[in-house]
Amino acid sequence: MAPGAKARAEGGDGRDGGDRQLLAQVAAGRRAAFEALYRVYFPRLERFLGSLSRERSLMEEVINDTMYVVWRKAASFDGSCKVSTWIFAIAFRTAKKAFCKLDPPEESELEDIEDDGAGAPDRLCELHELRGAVAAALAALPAMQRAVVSLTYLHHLDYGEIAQILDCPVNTVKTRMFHARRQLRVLLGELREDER
Amino acid sequence: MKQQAHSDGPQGEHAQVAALLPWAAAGTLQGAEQAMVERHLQGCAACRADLAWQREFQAAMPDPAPQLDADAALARLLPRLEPKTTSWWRRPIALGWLVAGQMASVALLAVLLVLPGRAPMPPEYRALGAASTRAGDVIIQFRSDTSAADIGRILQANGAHISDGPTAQGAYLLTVPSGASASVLQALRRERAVLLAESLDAQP
Repeated sequence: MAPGAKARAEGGDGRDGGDRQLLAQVAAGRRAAFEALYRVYFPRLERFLGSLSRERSLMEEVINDTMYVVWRKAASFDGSCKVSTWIFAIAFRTAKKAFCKLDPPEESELEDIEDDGAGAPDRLCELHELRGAVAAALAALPAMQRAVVSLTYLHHLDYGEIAQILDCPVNTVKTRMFHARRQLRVLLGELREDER
Repeated sequence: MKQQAHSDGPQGEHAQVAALLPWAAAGTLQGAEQAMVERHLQGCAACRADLAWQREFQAAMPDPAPQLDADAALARLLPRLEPKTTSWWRRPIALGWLVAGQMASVALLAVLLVLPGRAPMPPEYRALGAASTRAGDVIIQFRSDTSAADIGRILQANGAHISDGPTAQGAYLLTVPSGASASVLQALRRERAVLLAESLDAQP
């Protein structure tokens, strides 16, 4: 799927219209609408929170606390942003309280990457290695840089939405992404050099 | 993926475009920024290489499958959801009733203020041969213990008809035969059952 098409599928305006309808019904107290909205956002929040913390035991609690706020505050949504931006921002605030300290960078994981794809076709092997390397490089980033990278590439949010979610200036988002890119290039470059 | 070095400094369009490339790769740029990036890419090999690197990185990003059970988590959350209890003054229906009640109060007040002195209403039905009358010539108030039979007798004796009322004070508007209001008034005032009888004309 082309990046643009995926972006539209994940959080584009068409989807936002449906989200707004559901949220309006949630504001009116309709549980069926809440359950529908919950099922849409549960996997998205799990992916987002997974980029912030590896504390899996608290993940469900944070998601449920987030959606509980959505149930209670649905009527206060003023429509000035996408529903997804509003919900992700609630999730971020909830996560900051729950994960007392967002995950620090992992220093040693790059060394743990091993070629366990022996025997697989070369292309799959390369992809497997690449994904392992990227995962290790991402884990080595500070949590807030990881969040920006995840929201940009996996959730297809623009920098303005990310700034709203993380409650920071737009330039901070760009700066975090700049540092993340630079570090990712260095880490992935080192890994490739080690492989040779 | 090979690291690319930018040839110029952090200033200018190149720096702006370089900062936007992640969102260009993700397909979330729009409008003028998208146009600026596309235009810049045509003449900047470094940014084209950077964009290619980012697209490769994006494609390689791990997207782990969900591990949590959404149904089980939802089942744990649902008991926490209290019913929506909107405050009564915020409910649309309550507000509607409030407005309706207020309008009814205003209408009642208007009736009370206007009724004693408002323009006379024509009788609903008159025989063609009946004498010409004017509606609402006289306002009359009977004692509270006056029977309906006595009221009927008094009206009939004076050729008068009730055209409106009672008001909040228990008064009625009477129409009386044209040119006879003065004599009718005198006759009505002589009745023990009549507390008040006044002409609505300026000169009775």
